[in-house]
Amino acid sequence: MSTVLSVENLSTFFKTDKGIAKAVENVSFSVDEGEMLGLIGESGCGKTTVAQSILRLIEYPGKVVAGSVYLNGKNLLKATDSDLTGLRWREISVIPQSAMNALNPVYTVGDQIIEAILLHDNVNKKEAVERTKKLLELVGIDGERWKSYPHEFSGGMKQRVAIAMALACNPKLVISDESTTGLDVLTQAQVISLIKNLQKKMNLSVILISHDLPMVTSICDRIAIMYAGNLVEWASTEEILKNAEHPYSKALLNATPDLSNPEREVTSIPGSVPNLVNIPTCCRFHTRCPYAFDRCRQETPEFKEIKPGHYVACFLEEEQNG
Amino acid sequence: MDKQKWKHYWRVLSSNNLGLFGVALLVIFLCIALFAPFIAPFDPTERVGSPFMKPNGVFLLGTNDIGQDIFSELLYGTRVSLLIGVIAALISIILGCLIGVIAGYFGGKVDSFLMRLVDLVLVIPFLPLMILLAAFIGPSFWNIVLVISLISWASPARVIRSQVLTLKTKGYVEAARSIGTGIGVILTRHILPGVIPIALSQFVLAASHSILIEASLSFLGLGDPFTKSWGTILYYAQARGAFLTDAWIWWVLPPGLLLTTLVIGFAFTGYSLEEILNPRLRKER
Amino acid sequence: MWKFVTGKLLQYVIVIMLMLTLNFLLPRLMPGNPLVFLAGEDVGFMTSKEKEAILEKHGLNDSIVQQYGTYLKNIFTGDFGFSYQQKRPIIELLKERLPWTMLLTGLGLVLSTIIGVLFGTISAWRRGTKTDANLLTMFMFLSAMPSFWVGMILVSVFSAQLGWLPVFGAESAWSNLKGMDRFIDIVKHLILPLTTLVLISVTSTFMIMRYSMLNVLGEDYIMMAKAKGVKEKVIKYKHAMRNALLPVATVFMLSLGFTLGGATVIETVFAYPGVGRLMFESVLSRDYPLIQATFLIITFSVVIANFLADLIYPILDPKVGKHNG
Repeated sequence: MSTVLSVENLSTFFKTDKGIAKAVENVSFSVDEGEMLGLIGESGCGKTTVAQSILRLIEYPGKVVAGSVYLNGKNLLKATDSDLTGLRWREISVIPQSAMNALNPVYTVGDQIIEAILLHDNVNKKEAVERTKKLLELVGIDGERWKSYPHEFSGGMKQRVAIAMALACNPKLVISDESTTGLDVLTQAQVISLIKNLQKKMNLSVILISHDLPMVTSICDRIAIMYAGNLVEWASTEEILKNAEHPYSKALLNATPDLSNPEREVTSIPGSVPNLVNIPTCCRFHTRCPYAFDRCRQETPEFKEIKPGHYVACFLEEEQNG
Repeated sequence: MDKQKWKHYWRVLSSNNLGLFGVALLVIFLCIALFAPFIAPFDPTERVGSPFMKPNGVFLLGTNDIGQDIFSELLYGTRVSLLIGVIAALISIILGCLIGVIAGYFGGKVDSFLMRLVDLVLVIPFLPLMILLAAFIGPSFWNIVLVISLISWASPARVIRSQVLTLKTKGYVEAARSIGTGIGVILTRHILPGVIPIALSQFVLAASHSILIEASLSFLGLGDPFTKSWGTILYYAQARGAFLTDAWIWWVLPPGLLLTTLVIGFAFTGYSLEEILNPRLRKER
Repeated sequence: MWKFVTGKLLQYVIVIMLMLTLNFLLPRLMPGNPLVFLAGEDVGFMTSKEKEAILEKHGLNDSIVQQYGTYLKNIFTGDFGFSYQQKRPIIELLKERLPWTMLLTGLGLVLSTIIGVLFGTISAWRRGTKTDANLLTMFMFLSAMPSFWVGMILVSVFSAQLGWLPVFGAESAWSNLKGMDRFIDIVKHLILPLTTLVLISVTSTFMIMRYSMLNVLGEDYIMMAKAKGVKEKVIKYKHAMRNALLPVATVFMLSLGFTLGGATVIETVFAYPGVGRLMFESVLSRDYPLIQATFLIITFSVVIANFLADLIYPILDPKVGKHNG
């Protein structure tokens, strides 16, 4: 399988009144063709910033300060504006956080999908309309409703429209950024399974950003876990479930109830996420880590491969395995 | 209102240059108004010089058409503008609070009726209506205050209503309601403390509007003939054609500049108060 | 949509009825001789026969309900009464003055909206920069200046001192200019009052546009459009502007009354022969029927303009336009 997207040492900082907030630092991972990667972490840990950095949507006061993002061999961070116009939507698209607000209220949903198609593909208006109808039907909406305005749809349907829009130009990679926020549980499940089905059907690569661990483990091939702007662990779903190495990953797994093993006690993680403004060099989890020792407070652990395909950033593992 | 909160507000206000500047202006004007008799070289109602004198060592800004000292008139005028502005704003805010709280708290038919009323009042061209009322009930200090406040309560009422609506959904208010706390207690203990800061910023903005309206009315000859405000001074300057001669520099320019500065003082204070009370705005900057 | 329009219409009918009623009651409730309020202060010079005629005309000897009926009938047949000072039917005076006010306020509204929207947009796009701060301060100062004073200063500088523009009026008197020359003459007379009106009414549009644009720029659909690869200009003008204009349209309606009120004062400064100046003249001479008529005509204009704006609003906002969702 070939790699579609590879992110290397990505760092994105924000300028604030009080100093530099290192929202994302030294993040590396990749996504293969047809793979679904779950990017998971608490809210505010920098998941969305990673997505926006990949999509080149970071704006002042934020800045991508280091790293590279290769999409099919092209470095997105070095792409010119006209390169980007060519890449966006044909290669990479996004299903945004809360699709409710991602549709412009004064234009019909059709217009907004057609806009994307006309912008990137050399087709005429009529063909674009036809494709829009097909796209809507693909996500389970009557194609004739392309003339409706966003406010005429329910939340779940708007989410479907956003998915249809993301698929408008047959992208290789789709980033779904907490796309089910604000929907009820049932609709969430429907939308997620729709994304999964479409991913298989169209052999898409998907980055599924979420804070919902059980959902991610149930549908993703690999999982990357973020904590306070750093990637702490990245491995196949199976490996994470069985052999999670990082204390945060373990804590996260313990913090969610396990339906197959109801006996297990659910424990929450004590403490709170550190402030990322002017954060010193350290393992960012040390304030909450039960195993933390001196080195964790002074150095940042390297994110390295401990087994084929299993990456961890923790000194503990180093101490144990030499 | 707890002390801590006010201390916090004051800290934000003092870290905000615009607000500090506004407050400083207001303090200066307040001093001028209070100490006018001590600062002013002449009694503004006395004819102390010959008419239409140019500025000189004695009459700093010259004299008007009947030989009164313009500089002293200006100092005393501060009192009228400030007083009318503050009193009219106070009355309209009290009215606005009353209607806003009733509409927001009781909701339903009361709310929709009162908000319709607000919409109605907002459609009416208020300056012409004030001219009409002032012309009929006659020019006097209290009539002007009455006319201004009768018309300016509408938009504060709307702002306060929406604040009450937000407060009503707060956990502690819902809790108080669910355990059967009396309306009076809920209003005074829970709703009013949340409304007062907003009302304060609305009051400051209303005062700046009232001052401008009073000036316009006086300029149209509908001011109190016995208390000379800055608007009245400009009315005479206009009537005697001062703005067509060199006298515009000392007769027309200063009252307007004072009006502008006073209004800016209120406006800056008001906007920064709003910023303090609405943290969302603060972040956006 | 029809529900929206009829709702608004009802509201305006109520406003007009309230104002008519107020106008009806004012002269009758005021202490003193109602004749003064119905005919103006010239009453003192009238013969008893004339007074009798006025009482007769307003039906002051009838019951209050009958009086109200007569009053409404007169207004709706275009009979606003008689100005005893100017010795002319009021409707004639209004017909003469209204076009000038419409010219001044119409242009003033259009210009101040365009300028306010433009600068509000610039300010929002450059939020947090020096440009933004400077624009904000400048517009706040503009809104703090008394309108009539701005007018007086402009006249002092540009007419009296520099002599570039005429001092007052809407056109040169007794000049018998024709065609193009007359047009230029009218434009010259219009520049200063128009500038004043724009200067004092532009701030509310600016503030609203800036605030609304700031909100819209933070919306997800703007980010989405960017992610789609839509060009920045298209995002700004097609996606952001359309949405940001919605609150401006609402404020536009509210500022109609303000602008017309401002015009009253500005027309006075420039002796511009509009309805506002007429109102001032009638206040000076305590010509009460004329004060009332000018007030009514201004209220009517505001309400009609509001209603027209309401009819246009659904085209801007699809949520109001269609109700089938």
